[in-house]
Order: sequence, then C-alpha cells, then structure tokens
Amino acid sequence: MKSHRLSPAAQLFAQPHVHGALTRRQFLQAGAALATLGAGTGLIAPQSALAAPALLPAAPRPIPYGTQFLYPDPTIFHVQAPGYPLPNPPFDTNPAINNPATITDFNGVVGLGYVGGQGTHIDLTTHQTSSVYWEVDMRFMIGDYIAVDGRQYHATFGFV
Amino acid sequence: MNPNHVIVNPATGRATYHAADLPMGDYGANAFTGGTPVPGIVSFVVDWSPSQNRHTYRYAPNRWEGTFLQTNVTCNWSGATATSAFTTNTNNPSIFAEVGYERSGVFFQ
Repeated sequence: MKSHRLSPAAQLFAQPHVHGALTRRQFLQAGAALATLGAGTGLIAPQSALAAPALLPAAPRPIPYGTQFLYPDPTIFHVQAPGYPLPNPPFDTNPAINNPATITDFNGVVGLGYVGGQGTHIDLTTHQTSSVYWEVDMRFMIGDYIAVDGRQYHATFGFV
Repeated sequence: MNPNHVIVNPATGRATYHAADLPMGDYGANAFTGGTPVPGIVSFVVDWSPSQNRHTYRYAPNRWEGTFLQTNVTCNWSGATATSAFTTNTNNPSIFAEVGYERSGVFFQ
C-alpha cells in the first residue's frame, strides 16, 4: 500500500497528516478547525441530560487560553493538545499543564484520545481507492458548567 | 450532544464515545481560512481501555486541576460526501489518551 495526498473530504473526515505531505502541526490545525466546524453543525452544541427541550442550556465559555496552531501567526485557538508529540518549543504539550477540556468554568468528566493509522479513501466519481494515513483528536466533556448567561447547567459535549 | 453517545467510568478510565451518520460539513484542507463547506456525514466509535496509570494535575496559572488515567484508545471512523468516502482500517495505534475528572474556572479551588 502507498499513501496519497488526501481529497478534501478525506482530509475532513480523517483529520489526517500524510507522511511527507502534512506536518503534525498541520494535523492539529485541522483538528481545531473541526472543533469550530462542530460548533456550527450542532455537534458540540450542548444538550441537557435532564432539562426538557424548551429549556436547553446556554452555550459554555471556551477556555480563555489555547494554542497558536498557525504559529508564528499570533491567533490563539481555544484548544490545547495535552500529550500530543509536538516539538518543544514552540509547543509544550505536557499533560500536567495542558487542559484536555475546551470549555472553562467546568466541573466534570473529560475523555481525550489521539489515534492514527491507515484508512481507505474512495473517490465516488472515479471509483478509485487509495490508502492514506489518518489521525483523529476525539474528546468528550460531561458535567456542570457556567454558561455565557451566567447560569449553571449540566450537559454532554463532543469534540471531533 | 446526545448524552447517550458517551458511556464512561472515570474511576477505571473505560469509556466509549460514538455517533452514527452525524451531519458534518467538509471544509477541504481546513476551516481556519474559511470557505464554504460541502455537506457530509460521519460515523465513529472511540473506545478507551481501563487503566491504573493515574496522574493528578493542578495548574493554577490557567485555573484548572484534575485527576486522570492515562490509557489507550481505539477509533473506527468513516465519512462521506456526495463525491468521496473514507473508512479507517482496524487495529490503529493509540498516540495518547486520558480520562478523568477536572475542575476549572469558577470551580477551581
């Protein structure tokens, strides 16, 4: 099998870095982009585990710090990468100082996992298949949080 | 998201996070620079294994603290747009994973 540069769709779905084509930093740029995307599609929009649909909770606040995924561009993206093997400097991914949650004023359970491997991309127009390397950054947060409206809620959040 | 999509036991590190046919737009290379997404769907199952590798963190400058189990994780993932599809192979290696409790911001003591 050999690796190919990914189509835009495969880049989205796998958040990949292809050996020799994308760096690990570029992979994390894609991961953060998907977090933003998730907010737009409702993926990480909060839903209450207890409240009736008419009482859906308000949005959480993002962590007030983050990572310069476009370094040296000074833009801060409100997500950190604890434990991910990145060059230090400019990135310090020590789990002891990097928060796996992407929201603040939060009290609850967090899960984070980075996985990588081989996958199969299919061009549905030409029916050509190719083997590609992919990585994902998957997270969840379940618990109480103080929302942008200043009130406390309980919800489950996903990060893709 | 639907709370039924996550099952977790933070005392052991065991967890599952899944979704099926979740609508998600395709921004191409990435969404940082904007653009118009192509409609798509994704499905995934992420499994964290039990662990006893416990770590307690407290980082006052950013006002968060927690206790986490560093563990291993697997992920099966697929997705498609109208013109493209992707599926992960099995037995993909874990790079880093952790599951635990944390408090931040106003809950930080």
